[in-house]
Amino acid sequence: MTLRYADKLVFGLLFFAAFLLLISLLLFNHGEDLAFFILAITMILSAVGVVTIKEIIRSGFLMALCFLCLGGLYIVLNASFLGAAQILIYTGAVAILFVFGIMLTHKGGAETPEHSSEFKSLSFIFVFVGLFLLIVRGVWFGTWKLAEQAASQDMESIVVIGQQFFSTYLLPFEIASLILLMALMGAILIARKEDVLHE
Amino acid sequence: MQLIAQNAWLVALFPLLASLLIFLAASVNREANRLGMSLSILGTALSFLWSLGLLGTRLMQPDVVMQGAMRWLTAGEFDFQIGWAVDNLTAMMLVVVTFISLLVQIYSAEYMAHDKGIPRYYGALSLFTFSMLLLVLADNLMVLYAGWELVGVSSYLLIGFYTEKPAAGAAAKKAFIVNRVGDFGFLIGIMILFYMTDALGFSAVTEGVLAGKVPGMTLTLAALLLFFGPIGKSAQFPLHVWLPDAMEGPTPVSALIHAATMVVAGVYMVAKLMPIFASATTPLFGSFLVLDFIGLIGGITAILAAAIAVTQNDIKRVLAYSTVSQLGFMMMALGMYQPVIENEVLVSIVPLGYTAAIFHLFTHAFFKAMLFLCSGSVIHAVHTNDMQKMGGLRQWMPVTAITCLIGTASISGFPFITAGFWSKDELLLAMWQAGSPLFGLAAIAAVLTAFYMFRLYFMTFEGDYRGDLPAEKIHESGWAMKGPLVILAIPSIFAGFLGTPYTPENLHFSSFIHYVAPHAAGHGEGHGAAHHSGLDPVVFGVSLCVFLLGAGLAYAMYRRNPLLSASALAEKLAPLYKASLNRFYFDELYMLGVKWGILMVAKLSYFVDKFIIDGMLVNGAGLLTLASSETLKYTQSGRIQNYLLSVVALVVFLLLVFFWLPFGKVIL
Amino acid sequence: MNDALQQPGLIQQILDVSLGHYLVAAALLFCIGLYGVTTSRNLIKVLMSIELILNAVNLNFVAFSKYVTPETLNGQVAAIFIMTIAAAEAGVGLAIALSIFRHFKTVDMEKIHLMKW
Repeated sequence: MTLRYADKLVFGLLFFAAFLLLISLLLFNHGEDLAFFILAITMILSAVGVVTIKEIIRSGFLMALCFLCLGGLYIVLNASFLGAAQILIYTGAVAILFVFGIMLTHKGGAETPEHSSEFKSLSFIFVFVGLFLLIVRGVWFGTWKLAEQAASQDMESIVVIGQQFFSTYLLPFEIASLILLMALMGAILIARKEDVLHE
Repeated sequence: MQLIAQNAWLVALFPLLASLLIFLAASVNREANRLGMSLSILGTALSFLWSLGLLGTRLMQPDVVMQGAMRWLTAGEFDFQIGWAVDNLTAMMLVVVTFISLLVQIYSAEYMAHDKGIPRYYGALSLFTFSMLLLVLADNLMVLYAGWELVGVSSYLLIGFYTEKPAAGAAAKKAFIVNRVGDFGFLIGIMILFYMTDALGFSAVTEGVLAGKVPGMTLTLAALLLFFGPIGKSAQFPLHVWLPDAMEGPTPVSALIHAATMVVAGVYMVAKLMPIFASATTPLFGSFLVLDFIGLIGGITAILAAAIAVTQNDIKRVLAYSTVSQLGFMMMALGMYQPVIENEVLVSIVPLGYTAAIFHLFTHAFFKAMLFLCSGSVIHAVHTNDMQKMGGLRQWMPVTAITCLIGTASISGFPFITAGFWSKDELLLAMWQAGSPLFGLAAIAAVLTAFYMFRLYFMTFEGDYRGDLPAEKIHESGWAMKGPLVILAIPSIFAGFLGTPYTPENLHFSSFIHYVAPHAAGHGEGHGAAHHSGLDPVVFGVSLCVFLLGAGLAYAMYRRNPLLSASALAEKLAPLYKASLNRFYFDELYMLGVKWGILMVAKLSYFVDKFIIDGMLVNGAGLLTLASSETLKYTQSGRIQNYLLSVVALVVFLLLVFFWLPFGKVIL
Repeated sequence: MNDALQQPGLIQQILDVSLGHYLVAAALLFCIGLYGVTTSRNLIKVLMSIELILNAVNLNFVAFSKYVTPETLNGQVAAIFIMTIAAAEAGVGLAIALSIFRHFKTVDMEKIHLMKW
């Protein structure tokens, strides 16, 4: 079995990411900055891979990698609960969901379109030359109301989030549960075969 | 007294309520004759009593201020009020209007008994009474204008009352449209004054004018435009053509609206706004002031209408032209003034004919209403308007004949004992004092007045009966018609004694109604110009001669054995006679102008509509839409990604704008 | 150490991780996602790109949560809500994708244009 270039890239990236993650975890207390750069670069590279690689199944796995790195960034940002949730939900559930989606819509390997979209360069100019540069400009010249001091070290983020959910954000929390229920039912209703209804 | 004075607006409210109730009843039952009649008479009677109370209050307690206002609408800083105010002039007008309205409504009970749609008739009559009272009570220009238009509408309804007669409908339309021409100018005048002074109330506008808020020429123009209203409403030359045609309406209506009340609204308005007219001291050209213009129009109207009346054979038309002519007299008097010149600059104006005009308005209302009601009585009896088919009616209708004779004598100015003599004397006196060349014109018009009125009397009541109707069928009217005639005959004689040179000063008409020169705020009370200068022998002599000449000529030509043949005279003066008989061709002239003008406008409109509106705008818009949609439809690719891309492009564009423009910093 | 390090230079500013770094990283992720949404021809890939966009927003929220409201963690709460919505969106979106695939027998975005002129 020979590996193609893209396969090599994917596996290389995966190994590279695992390595960097290890290092960043080792440097956790001292090298938050280093961890950021490693995780962010991996995340961006894998995201680029998601949108550029032709084989859709590789895009799916690269997406999982991207979300993994993002979870690492959350941990760097003192959001340990969110980081765990990110890894569980996205890397675990959503990515697998997408893999299932890819497999269900797979049609004998010929599903990849032959030619690429005709608006590629136009979109590139608008998004990266226009939007991205403008956002960076806004970030660069913007002034932010930064907090006076960092959070106290003994604060448990999960406790604070739980308190927020059951006080300030009680109503959105309940609505979110309803939305999940509706999405569940809606997804079943939309995805099942139509003639099932008439049997 | 206090109650009456503080609620003067109720005077107008009673007829309005009556009118609404009548129309309501008529919508339930079209034949609610008795109910409609009683409601109408009741409402007007209440108004009349209330007006009498008001007049009494004004006479006994001249210092009581009677005015009030309701807020109508507030727009920004401007607060618009429906204001009413009662001064001496208003109180007198209220009594005249309600008195004659009441009598006419009683008279109509018999006159209209055999007609259909009596509730409609009385409803419109009540509506008219309300409108007229509103016009009289108004203390600001907008309410005055509202009343002004409302009397126009109710007049339209009443002229066209006989809906089965095409002529009535045409006359109603003519009256309304001709009036619109004048009202247009009136409205523009109001708007100019409002724009310049920021006020609508009479006193506020006058104060603004005196404070110099309105530039001289603008004020003159505004006053001129204001006078357009009276030209239409009071049937002055050149808009006099509607009034004779308005005689198509029921005769009592003619008596009330087209003789005694509505048509004098113009005179009333000029008198009420006299401070504004008198302030317009910038001449139109040369030394020709707006007041000169008013006098000139009045003079032309007086002589022209009198000349036409001489040859008419329709009894109501004679009276109509006589009304026009008398209104011309009043306008002429209002236009009389004495300039106050300091250092060769005209600083102010003292109106001379103010009291005289109002006095004539006052007496004229009685005898002209009575004359119309007499003619109604005659028409009721012989079923024709044509005087050539009357004659000798006195033997069957003595009451009508005598009252008609009183009215004729009064309007012709029978010396010493009739109201008309004294009021006309006052008019002539005013012109004499002003030294106006119109004096001669007025004298000739007065001769013609005496002539055509006695011609009317002789042709109708004296001589032999010439009609087709069997003589035994002719009978005097009942008391509902005779009563008002007799009642009106009393003031037709005695009202004049209020204004004779021999009347004691404190009872004299001019001590009650006279022009009060307005003074700018802070200059104290204006002095009452109750100028009343006794007997002028020249004027007195002219008055006498005028009557004798006119009446004598009529007697000579229309007695049983004429000393002077009317037809021979007509042949001698054939062109003049024909012109007069055809009303100097005014209607034909207007029709020609209107027809030609409308044809031209129609052709132009057709061209504009066909080629510009339809060709360029409508079809052009359609073509443009088609072309652009054919082009733009390709953007509708059905692919969401393209739509999203355009959204992104727009966001980028907006961000660029926000960064580049100064306010971008505020947003980001 | 020399004085130049007292006043942080450009290099030093870039190396010192702050809020801006997270924002720029999130912006980059967002733009990649947007690019993917507008250019991908595979329906599933479009959905993936949408997930990228949502996660970019999440990163912003969490970064703000740390740097702006460290005591109340409003940003993290918002991020959890977005995760919830994103999960629901992924589920429904994939269901729609399946339905479309069953109908058109393809997931090629350029062949799915029923709403064309």
